[in-house]
Amino acid sequence: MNVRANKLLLLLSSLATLALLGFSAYRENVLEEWRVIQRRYARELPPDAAAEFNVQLRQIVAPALDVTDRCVSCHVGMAPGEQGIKTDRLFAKHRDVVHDPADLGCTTCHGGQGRATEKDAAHGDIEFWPEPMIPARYSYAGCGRCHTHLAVPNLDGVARGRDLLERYDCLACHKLEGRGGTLRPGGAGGMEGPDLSRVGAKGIDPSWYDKHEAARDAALAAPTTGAAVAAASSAPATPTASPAAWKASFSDIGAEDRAQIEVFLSSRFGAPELIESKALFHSLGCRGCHKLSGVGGDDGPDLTKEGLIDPGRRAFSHVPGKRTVANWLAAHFRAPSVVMPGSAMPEFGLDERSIDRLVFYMLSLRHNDLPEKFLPDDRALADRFGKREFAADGATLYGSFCAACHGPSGEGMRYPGMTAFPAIGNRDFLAVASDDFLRATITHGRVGRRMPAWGETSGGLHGDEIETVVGYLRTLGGDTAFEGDDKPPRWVVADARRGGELYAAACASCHGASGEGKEGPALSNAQLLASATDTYLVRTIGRGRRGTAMLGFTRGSTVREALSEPDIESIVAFVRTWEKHR
Amino acid sequence: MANSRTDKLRRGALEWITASQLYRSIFRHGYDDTVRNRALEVTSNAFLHLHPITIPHHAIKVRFTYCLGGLTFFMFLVETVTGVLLMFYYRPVTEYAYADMKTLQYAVYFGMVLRNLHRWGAHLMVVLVMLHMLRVFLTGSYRPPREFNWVLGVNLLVLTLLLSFTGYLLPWDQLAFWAVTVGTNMAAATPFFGAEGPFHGLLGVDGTNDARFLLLGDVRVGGSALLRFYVLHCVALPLVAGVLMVVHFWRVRKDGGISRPL
Amino acid sequence: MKQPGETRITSERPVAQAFGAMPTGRPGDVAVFPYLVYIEFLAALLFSIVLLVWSLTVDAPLLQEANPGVTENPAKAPWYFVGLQELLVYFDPWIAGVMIPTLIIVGLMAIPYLDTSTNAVGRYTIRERRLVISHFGFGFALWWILIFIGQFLRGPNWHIYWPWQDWSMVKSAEATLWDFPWWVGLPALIAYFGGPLFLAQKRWPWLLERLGMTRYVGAVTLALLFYGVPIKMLLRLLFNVKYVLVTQWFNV
Repeated sequence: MNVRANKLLLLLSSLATLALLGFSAYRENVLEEWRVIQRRYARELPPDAAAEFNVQLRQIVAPALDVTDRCVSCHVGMAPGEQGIKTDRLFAKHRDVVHDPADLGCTTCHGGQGRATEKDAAHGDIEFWPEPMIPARYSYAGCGRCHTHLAVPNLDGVARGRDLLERYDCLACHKLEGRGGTLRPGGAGGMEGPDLSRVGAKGIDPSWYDKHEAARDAALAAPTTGAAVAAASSAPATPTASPAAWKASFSDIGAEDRAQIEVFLSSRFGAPELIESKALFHSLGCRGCHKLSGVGGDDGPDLTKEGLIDPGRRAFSHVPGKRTVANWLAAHFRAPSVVMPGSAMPEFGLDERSIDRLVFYMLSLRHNDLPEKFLPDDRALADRFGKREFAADGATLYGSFCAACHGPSGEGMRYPGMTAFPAIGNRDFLAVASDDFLRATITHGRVGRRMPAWGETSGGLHGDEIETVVGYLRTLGGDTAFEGDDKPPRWVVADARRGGELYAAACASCHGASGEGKEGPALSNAQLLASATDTYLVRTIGRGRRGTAMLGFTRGSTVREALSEPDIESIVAFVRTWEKHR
Repeated sequence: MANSRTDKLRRGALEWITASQLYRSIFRHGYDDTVRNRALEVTSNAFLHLHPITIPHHAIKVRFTYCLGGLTFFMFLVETVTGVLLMFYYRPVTEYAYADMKTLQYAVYFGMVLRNLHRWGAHLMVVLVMLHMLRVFLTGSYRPPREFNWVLGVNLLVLTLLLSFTGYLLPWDQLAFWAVTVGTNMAAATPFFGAEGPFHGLLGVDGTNDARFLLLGDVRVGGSALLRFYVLHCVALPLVAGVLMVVHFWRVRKDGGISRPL
Repeated sequence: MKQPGETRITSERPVAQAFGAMPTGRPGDVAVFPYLVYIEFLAALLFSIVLLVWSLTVDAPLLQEANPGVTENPAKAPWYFVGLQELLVYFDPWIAGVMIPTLIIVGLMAIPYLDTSTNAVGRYTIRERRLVISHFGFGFALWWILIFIGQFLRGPNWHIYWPWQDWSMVKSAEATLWDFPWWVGLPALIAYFGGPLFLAQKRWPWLLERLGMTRYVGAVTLALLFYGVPIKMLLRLLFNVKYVLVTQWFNV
């Protein structure tokens, strides 16, 4: 009970408390990361600008988007009104973009945690922030938050469109994604055509070709530059150039190529990498299992918001490298069932470049609610009017929905642990399959098997789209047409009992004793039996499918005897008995 | 000689200060360490007057009380001060609550330190109040005539837990949301009054009129639960706790002061 | 004229002497100011330092924004209620979440009315209060043990995970549980609550004598209810018993 000692302790502990409070104030006012950074910025500024610069918290606020972005507290050069410092990456000005960061904020496009003022937290690389920044390499994935780019062709379509532009020398006058726009040597004077890099955003003038032709004719008729300009002034959107340039660079374009060019140009939004990734997605048949905004199969998870999934809720235990969403996605594409045990997704054996593109596209799938004011036209058209994100041509539709299972050119696929997928591009198949049969199969699918129903109410495809796919299937088999069939759908009258014996001997080993399917497809399937005519069955058994395990039975081989026409019919009669049981 | 000179100077200054009207208007006792002043310093001070003038010698041993009761009260004061400051930045609305936490963390001066003080202080307070109860039990201080003060103490313990629990929801993060969901689901299991408890059918109790609904103002944790918890946390429970504390402290004196061996 | 108590205290004189003239002073008492007040302020300041250092070094947790659509697994109550949540393993919610907390509160408040002895007040002694302190200490310890288990050893789906085990490891469900049939459970319960009332009176006749009937029954019942908790836990852990008594309205 030493009062003097206690008094001293009181003094010391009071001082210690004060010191801690003082330290806290010091940390708050001096040591904070963004203050240190802003002081550095002020030092690097020219003296007159530095004098006006205050170290203070900076932010961009957009209440309608729920944006409070303090990113500009460190990236000071990107703050509205700041001049930035070119030589310093941290302080550089934002490059010119279509959307003003002062209106939309930073996180709207880039992700991350706008309210945070410390680097890791702001970039979203912390444990409990669901939306980390999109890595700079995939920046354009941010477009996906608001935009739904429409009518994107498959990868072939994109490549072909690009080729056509080269072939027809369009880049002589037009610029595309930083290339072209240089008139050929010898083309004196003239004008550049408009930049085509984002021509898809506004939609393409349907009369562009006519206008080109008219301008060329006018230019050739009046060999002075002034006249060409005058001709242009009557049609503002008309490209103009010197007659020599017109002569050298513009030639007639066939209707088919024109259509292809239009498809390609419609997909130019100023984000070529993103579109290319989306095109790849619509070439690999991903929608066969995955839904996006209501269109696609149900076997895999819905991907509409895949890019927004909280990294904290992804299992990283089998992902090598850093715990980033991009790494997770890439590892997942390499070996789905390793990253997500129990995943039914097969390994597609994609090359690294394709994997990188798919990662890019997945990161762009961040379909969030948007205030009406910010809803872009493409998104509104897609969400409200059912406009498609994929182009309407057969190749793109097939690439979007069918390619993963039936193979890129209809050759069928085999994945470990799954029954083989039929080769629907097979000539023998296409010759015996009527359009009605194909249409019915696509629309109603095969319940109980992998093939989902693609009709309006299930997979979400419109009738005309299914029609296009049917047409495209024919081209896969080298334009194989249906042979025709003048018999009614059911005409076989034969001894089903004998058929049963023959089936057990010849068919059961592949198709299963009761038609449940083994190596070969299931035959007892209700949809198959309902849509297949007797002619279809008889011909298929008789001729088989070249290039598959199904051999034609009208010709024998060393291991089995040939079947006669009545034998085959009796087998069909037996197969039909499965239908009656149901 | 020099010593006595400074001593003289010091005494002169002290006398001048203590004789001033300002000093005498605030303090009703002299500065000198006299027996009388020691008594007056306690009785004439609003904050100290809950104390007696003298206490048993054993009671100022730290190893008797470990200051647990006093520290619990001190934590309550810390929570009140930091809590009031936090209230300036916090809106109990689901649209804003979480964003306000982020603002506190990243943009408010001392925001994070304040929140840390409040949160860790709350943990400390719960631990301290439990240890205080243990101390009172081990020293037999609940025995007559101090029974009722023990009862008040148990109530204060419960209030401390409720204060902490209601505050738990306010950050409106996943931790808060699911902890409170788990906690309030217990209310639904109340016999007779909970929608999932035994005998709830007898009173016609379902999800929309049971005990959990009373707590949440809804069938699940949402905006009205946030508001209810906020009002309970910031107003209702502190008021009740404050009143009970006043009685608790007062009864310590009235029940014979701090417990002493006979 | 000098008043009593005006003497200036110049050194550490014996306290009793300093307060000899004070009407409130008892022999051996000390002045609250400065002795107690200094200690109080010291304690407060030391805790301020602890709390400040803690707050400056460790940030309070803040997870993702609340999302009713994403369930946390496990969803844990605040740590001081985790003990009750842990009891959910052994009891139905209406017991673990409502009856037990209510009984804890009521039981705590009842303590001074059941233990009315005025012996051993104001000092630490285990020897003289062995019975009371051992019961209370057991309860206090159980509370903290349950909190420890719930807070640190429970993982997804409330399975036991040791601190060094990865939560992504899937744990299988525990062994199948069984219930007592009612013709075992009901007599067992009656015997459990009735038996000791008589046995304790036989064994320690002075208990009833000292406490009187009401207090005796109250004390024994509360003690039995309290010990029912660990007993039920042991039944579950050792013999996989889910319910002791199954009725159509509730299960115990």
